[in-house]
Amino acid sequence: MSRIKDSPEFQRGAPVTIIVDGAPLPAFVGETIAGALLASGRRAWQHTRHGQPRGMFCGIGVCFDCLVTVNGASKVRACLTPVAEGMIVQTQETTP
Amino acid sequence: MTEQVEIAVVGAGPGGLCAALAAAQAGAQVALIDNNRHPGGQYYRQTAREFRGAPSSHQREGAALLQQAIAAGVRIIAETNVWGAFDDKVLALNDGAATTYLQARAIILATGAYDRPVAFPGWTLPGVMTAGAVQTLIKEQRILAGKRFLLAGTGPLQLVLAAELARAGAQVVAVLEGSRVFPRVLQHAGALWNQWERLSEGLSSWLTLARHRIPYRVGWGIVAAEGAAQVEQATIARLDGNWRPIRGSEEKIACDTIALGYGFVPFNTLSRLLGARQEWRPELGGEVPARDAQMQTSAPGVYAVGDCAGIGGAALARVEGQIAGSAAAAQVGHGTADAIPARASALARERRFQRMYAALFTPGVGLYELSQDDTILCRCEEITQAEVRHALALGADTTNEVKLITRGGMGDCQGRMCAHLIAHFIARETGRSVAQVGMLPPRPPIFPIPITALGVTR
Amino acid sequence: MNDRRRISAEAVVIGGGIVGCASAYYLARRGVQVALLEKATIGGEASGRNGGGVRQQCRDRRERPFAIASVKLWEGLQAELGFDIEYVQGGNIRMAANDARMESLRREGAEELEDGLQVELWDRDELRRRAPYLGDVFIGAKYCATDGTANPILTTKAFGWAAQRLGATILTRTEAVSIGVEGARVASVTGRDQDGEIVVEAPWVINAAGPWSAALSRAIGVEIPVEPARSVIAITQRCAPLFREFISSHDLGVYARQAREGQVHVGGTNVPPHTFDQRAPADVLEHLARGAAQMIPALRGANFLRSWAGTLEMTPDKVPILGYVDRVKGYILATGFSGHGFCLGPIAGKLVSELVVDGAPSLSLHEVRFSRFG
Ligand SMILES: Cc1cc2nc3c(=O)[nH]c(=O)nc-3n(C[C@H](O)[C@H](O)[C@H](O)COP(=O)(O)OP(=O)(O)OC[C@H]3O[C@@H](n4cnc5c(N)ncnc54)[C@H](O)[C@@H]3O)c2cc1C
Ligand SMILES: Cc1cc2nc3c(=O)[nH]c(=O)nc-3n(C[C@H](O)[C@H](O)[C@H](O)COP(=O)(O)OP(=O)(O)OC[C@H]3O[C@@H](n4cnc5c(N)ncnc54)[C@H](O)[C@@H]3O)c2cc1C
Ligand code: FES
Repeated sequence: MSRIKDSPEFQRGAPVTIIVDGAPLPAFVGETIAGALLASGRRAWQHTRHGQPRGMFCGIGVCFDCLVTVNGASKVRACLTPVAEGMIVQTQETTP
Repeated sequence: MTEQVEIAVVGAGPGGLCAALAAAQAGAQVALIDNNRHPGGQYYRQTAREFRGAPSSHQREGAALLQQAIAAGVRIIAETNVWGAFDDKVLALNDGAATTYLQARAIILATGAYDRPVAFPGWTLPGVMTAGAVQTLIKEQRILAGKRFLLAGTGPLQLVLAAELARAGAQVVAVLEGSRVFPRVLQHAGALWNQWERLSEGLSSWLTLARHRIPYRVGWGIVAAEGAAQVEQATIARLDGNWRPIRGSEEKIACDTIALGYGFVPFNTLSRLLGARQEWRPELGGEVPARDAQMQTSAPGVYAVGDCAGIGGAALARVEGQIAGSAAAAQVGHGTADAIPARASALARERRFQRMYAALFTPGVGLYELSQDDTILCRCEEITQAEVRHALALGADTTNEVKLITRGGMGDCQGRMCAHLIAHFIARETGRSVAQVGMLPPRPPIFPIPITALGVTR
Repeated sequence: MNDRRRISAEAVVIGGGIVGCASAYYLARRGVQVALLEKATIGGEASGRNGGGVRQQCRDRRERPFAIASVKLWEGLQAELGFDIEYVQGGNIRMAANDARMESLRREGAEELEDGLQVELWDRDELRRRAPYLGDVFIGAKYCATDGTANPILTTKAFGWAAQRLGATILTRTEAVSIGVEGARVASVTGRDQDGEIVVEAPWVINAAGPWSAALSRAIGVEIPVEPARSVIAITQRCAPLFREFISSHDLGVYARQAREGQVHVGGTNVPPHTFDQRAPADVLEHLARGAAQMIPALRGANFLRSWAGTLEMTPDKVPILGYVDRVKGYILATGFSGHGFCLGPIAGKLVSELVVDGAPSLSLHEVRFSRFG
């Protein structure tokens, strides 16, 4: 739950801020939403119909555990979706 | 609108890249479609292109292969899903904004695999994830998914991951290897001949483990994950020869992340959709298309290479890709399939390794017996083992029937996570084989696609 | 063959769709010893793949009384079958996108009221008020409040399970390969399963084999004019509750319902005939996507999760065939439901049981008689 401290030659993309449930979250271009959430220490961001917390499971877009709403579009896979400046992410309660 | 291409390759991992390159070098017009941000598949998984830093040797190799393919004229269609396959070799593509159709004279499927899901009490807790997820996050974004990792699974990839975690500064509390490898590896020593690259990678990982004093526990496995809102500890146990936990051997081990590395499941949906006959081959990961020596499936002009046709790793995927690429090119009138015999010895070497790998690291049945009645088998629809059991009591005896009654397998992942789990449970309860119990039929789109993007065609 | 197994029954049903299962259920309830042969699994074909619409309005006048009588049965089914079949009377809206369509809905509505079916005509404003989720292409609609939806697969299975509990013998993965006739009367059905042949002797044979009913019948010289046709459904991922009606528009060529679990099922009203092919073609999926987005604009933010197709059993006049066959005593046809058989299944099964037990059905079968095709 952290960004790896690589050698100084290594550089992340430009710093950006995404808005997760109304709160700013710093991230770097090139990261995915799931990456940024995990790096910030957050393990779960989806809740199932039965109220169970879920986060990243497969990491490659096949399990659909990591769904979030991005700029109004629902059911977006956080593990595949790169962050962008000002992106509005709502962690998702699955409906109904 | 439907575009025409001579050869369409789906998946830009080692298999697909080599297939596309071989076909293009033979003179064929080739399109290579991949749904990732960066072509390369799993093994060559590239670091985000917005990052600056020294790529690993795998990443360099993958990038070089991609450049070669582009130079040979391969058209790369990235960040695009193939969501369906239709008559006359028409593939349906979607990039999230619109659908396009690509009609090919030959199709090479190289869609790879995904980590094998394993159901045990607590496996849906945040913090339990696949080894591939942990690995991908490191390779692509240089991010650690946790602090204190327990690696549970089988095979040398676990060593590689443990070493990578350790080097990145994470704590690895233990690596559990389900297979009792050491006495048995000697029986297969021959298959290690000419595998120096692999051996040296294994050895260097091994040394890293030793240096960081990471316990490597052979014949041990995960039994349960525990924690209130996320993983706090794991129950592990010594396993018998069938991978069943030995009662009384349980231990608790504190960790915040459990990485499951129990091998892979071939991603065979497209070959099924294209009508290729499938076989149930546990040693190859599950259901895979039957193929001839040129990697052609029973559907004429449809080839399958790499992990999607049977788990075999990157090196085998490369050789199979080269063979299928030449064969498909010859089929559509470019070059001859002469290149194929030249690959025979490489193929034989990799197949030997694949057999050894399968013999050593195919999980035993005990792995599918960890779930309890209140354990969820279908993560998406949250269907428990008890609900599946109830469906069996009502007369269901196939994975599909259980799906229809319980909804298990109807969720967003299209059954990719649960089909194997449910099938093994049914097989065990009904005394039928997993092959008889069957997998789920493909139901396009194979990934969800926006209604607006489907309605709009380019 | 000496490995032939023989069982005897009072009636044998061919086909484990909703029509066959309901027939077996109502027969068993009347105390008839019944056996059912299903070549694959219960509800594996159209009966388990359909749109789940239980609708009385917008029916051919000949079919209307059956739909009305069936809905009476539907209202008690959940309790009777002892299984949650997700039946709700959420209403049915048939929309019009042009004046000609509205005019024909108006005419149909008048006829329906005459026949005792309560329907309402909605103008544009009423439609906006009652169904604000619909797109603005529609100028009006006809509405039937007692129409509804149910879960197709669970309903069909529940009929099968209930029949079984009442003593019916259900043989799945058993294909009927021939109908035995002695003199002018049916005598048996021969089935084939993985162990070989099985002969079910019975004085009554009910052909409820859906689109496959014609092939079986031909061999005994009874030509049923039933043709297969393909119908496709695509569904979204779970959505927040949007609507509870079953809605359709023949102008757009699509219909939809939202299942209890939240997925919106979208189907097409045009079905290509003469095919047993059950793969969903790309152009049909595109049509469904476009239609869905136009009909329910809120779906523009949704994804299609999966699709499937099923095979309908179409008759030339799109009205079912239900009743005796004059030339072959004991042979009952219950087929050709032409895309409406899910709603009609319960009443069809009940009428079949009356044909066997009472010799006279409680509803006239004149309009659905086989002999109308001469
Ligand atoms: C998450 C994960 C991590 C792995 N990490 C390693 C590792 O570090 N070292 C190692 O030796 N092995 C690793 N493996 C094993 C790996 O599968 C093989 O070593 C190797 O990558 C197989 O090559 P391939 O060409 O068959 O498929 P892959 O490399 O898996 O490539 C398949 C490609 O096809 C794409 N694809 C699939 N379906 C579609 C579709 N419908 N439309 C468009 N594109 C599609 C995939 O996204 C992927 O890019 C990993 C496997 C997984 C699942
Ligand atoms: C996509 C779709 C949407 C639909 N929507 C609706 C709707 O909203 N409302 C509505 O009322 N209707 C709808 N229908 C129509 C409805 O599903 C059918 O009319 C109805 O299911 C017919 O039931 P059945 O029992 O006659 O046939 P089927 O369900 O076709 O059952 C026939 C059974 O017979 C079996 N069989 C065939 N031959 C043999 C043999 N030789 N031996 C043994 N078994 C055999 C088959 O395997 C099958 O299970 C829809 C149909 C489809 C495909
Ligand atoms: S973590 Fe599995 S789809 Fe994102």
